[in-house]
Amino acid sequence: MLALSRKLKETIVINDDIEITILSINKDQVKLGISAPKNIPIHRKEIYVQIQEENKEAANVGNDIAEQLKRM
Amino acid sequence: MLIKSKHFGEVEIDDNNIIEFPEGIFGFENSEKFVVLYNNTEGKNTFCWLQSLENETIALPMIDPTIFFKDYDPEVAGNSIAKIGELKEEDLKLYTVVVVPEKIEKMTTNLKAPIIINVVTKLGIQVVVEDDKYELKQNLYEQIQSLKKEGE
Repeated sequence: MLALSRKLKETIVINDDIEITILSINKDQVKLGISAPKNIPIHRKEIYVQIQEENKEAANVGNDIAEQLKRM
Repeated sequence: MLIKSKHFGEVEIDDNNIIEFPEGIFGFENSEKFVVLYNNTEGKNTFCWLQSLENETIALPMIDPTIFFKDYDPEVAGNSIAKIGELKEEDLKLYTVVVVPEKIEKMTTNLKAPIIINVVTKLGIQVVVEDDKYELKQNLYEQIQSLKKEGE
């Protein structure tokens, strides 16, 4: 992982087409502004973990519930 | 070919219906070959199942979200969708995964991360949509009930 220090309003450029700017710094929260081409997906990392857990829970459905679903 | 499924026992499937998920799906990144199973081939199926071919215990219930959420029109980043080949509107099939907790009334569907299948390339992927308005846990039971009432 590359570690860079930035001050408020400073920017990092990635791959020539993604820019990340520090918009505000508030106690323990940093607000980031991200400019990137529309084809590049950008998400908070937690969402991926949440979706993994959601899928696992979905796959965990028991046979009796599965039978109920088949009849709906 | 004959496959073992989690909820349908042994099932004969058409090899042409095997979908390759090069990145697997979230939580099951090592499962790459799936097939979509329906309860019956004609008539109405509310739910279908994404059945892993490599691991018979992996089967996720899914719905066609547009049946219950008519305005569902998610925005997906081009780089995500490019992974399943050049995609035209008529070539794609969209599903959302359904979670059923102990109480069926608490059934939800994941509108935030749909499963997209390209029927021409036979490739599939699960993507995270760009819109904030779609929920990870969208109540489905209520939606099914309210549509039933409308139909009566």
